[in-house]
Amino acid sequence: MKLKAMYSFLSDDLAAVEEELERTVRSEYGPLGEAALHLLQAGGKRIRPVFVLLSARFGHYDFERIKHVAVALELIHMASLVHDDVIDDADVRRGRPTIKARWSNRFAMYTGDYLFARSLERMAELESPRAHQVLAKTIVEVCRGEIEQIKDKYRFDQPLRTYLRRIRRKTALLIAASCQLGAFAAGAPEAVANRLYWFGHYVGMSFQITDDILDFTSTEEQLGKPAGSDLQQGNVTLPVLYALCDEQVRAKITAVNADTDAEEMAAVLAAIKQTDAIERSYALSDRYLEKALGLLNELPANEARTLLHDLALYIGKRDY
Amino acid sequence: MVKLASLKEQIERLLDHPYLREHVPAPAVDEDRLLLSLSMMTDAPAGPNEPDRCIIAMMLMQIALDTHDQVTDRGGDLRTRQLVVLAGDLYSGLYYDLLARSGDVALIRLFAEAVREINEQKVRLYEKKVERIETLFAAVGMIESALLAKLAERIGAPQWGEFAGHYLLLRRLLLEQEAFVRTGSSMLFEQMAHIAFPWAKGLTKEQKRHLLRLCERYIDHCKEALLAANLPMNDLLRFRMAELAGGFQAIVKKSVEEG
Repeated sequence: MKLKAMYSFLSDDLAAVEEELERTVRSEYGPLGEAALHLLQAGGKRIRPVFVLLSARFGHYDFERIKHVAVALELIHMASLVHDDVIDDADVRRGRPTIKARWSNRFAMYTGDYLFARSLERMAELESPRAHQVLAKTIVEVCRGEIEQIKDKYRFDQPLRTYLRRIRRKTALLIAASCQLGAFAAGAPEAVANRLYWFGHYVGMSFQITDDILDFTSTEEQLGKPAGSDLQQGNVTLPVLYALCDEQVRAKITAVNADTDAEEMAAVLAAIKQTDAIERSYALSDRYLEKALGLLNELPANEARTLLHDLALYIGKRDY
Repeated sequence: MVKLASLKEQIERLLDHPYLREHVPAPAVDEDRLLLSLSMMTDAPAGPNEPDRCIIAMMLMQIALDTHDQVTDRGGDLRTRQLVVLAGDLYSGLYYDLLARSGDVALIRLFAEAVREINEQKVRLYEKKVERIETLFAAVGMIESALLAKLAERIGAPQWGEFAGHYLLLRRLLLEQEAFVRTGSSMLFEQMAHIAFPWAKGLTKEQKRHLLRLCERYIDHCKEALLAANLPMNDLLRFRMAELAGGFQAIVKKSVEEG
């Protein structure tokens, strides 16, 4: 099932969020708004707004209030994507030229900072210092995670917990915050907001592990970049860590560097796939997913809970 | 001044990140902005609950924006560029974290407006889409002082926003003028030349003199505005202002006269 078909009962509100996003990123000075729209119109799963809206269903659902949080979180995510493309020197995202490729690095920096500012402007519509504290702390941790990712490149001796801490910061925290902030904005009980936070956290961990697996199991066409790109760029992900347990494969993996050619990379990928690394990675992803689903059972039964369940399964088990 | 040193130390502590420091130079903490903020707070009818935290947050955001200005379009070491991007992102995250902890949502909104406006103006300059000299100087003034102006607005002291605008524009004009006279290269003068002589391939001596005179006129305007403001300020700021008003001016005037 397509993701959007899955949450059809949210479709009116999601369409409204989309309109708000468009309205928010338009700039008084044309080119900046044009660049932001360029990224917005390239699409995306809008996972964070969906988590905000669904989590808000566990409290007093007032869309006019909640929409600010949904828009703010997607804008934060967009800002980080624009800067990530400068970091990764990426020319294509979602099948379109990146902002840094179409305009320039410097222009992308200004666009990212602009989107960050627009996000905080929307978030400031919510007079809740606590909500701001949660989001701010999350942003700081995400940045620290990204710096660690650079620091840990080609560090094949890193322990599993370093990887887990990195993906927690890189992905899980913002999804967790989306759930928690949705609940806050709707005035849901504290215990419910906390469970939603951990639900988002575990889903986020599963989501990132799946993403890391797909880098090895998907085609270039599906990924929009060559398979194994993460490894070639030095990102030591879970399948790599598991594959390193095999002494023969280890030697091949540790020889990878930025200049490794396509043929050598294909051989390394084939060697990794012959180990049990992918299987073990899926098993860990499933364990996070189970934890997430277990938490859902502790929440009041409603349509949102059913959808959170389906959504968690979808993003944890997606084949692309 | 104890307060200035204490704020500076707190900011430097927040900016400290061992891995970043290995690859990216530590950002400088702008003492002029700190002095302006401190004078403004002392003179404010409606200061925030935690003035230090607000000042430090504003300084972090300014440093974040300045850091992102260092990202180059091409060349340079890839890892350094990556870390410059992330350093700026981290500093802006820390800025938001401090403000959020102060609970001042109104200031979060005001600073966010400033950051939006600053980036709009930066893109306008970057794309060389400014058609008038006055607009160019207004854009540069806004980029330099928007955050301080919003802080002034928040504490009910808009006169300080204007003062900071003139002060920081003056400082910037002097730096650009110095660069232009000494090296022949200045972002501001390049923009001015683009507006005043759009078809010129290179500048003649007379055209250069014309641009320097234009810059001089704005420098004088800023100085007059600063003196006319007559605001109560700390001794250090008064000293810095006197320094700005003198300094490099004599050399420039001589250069203009001699052509």
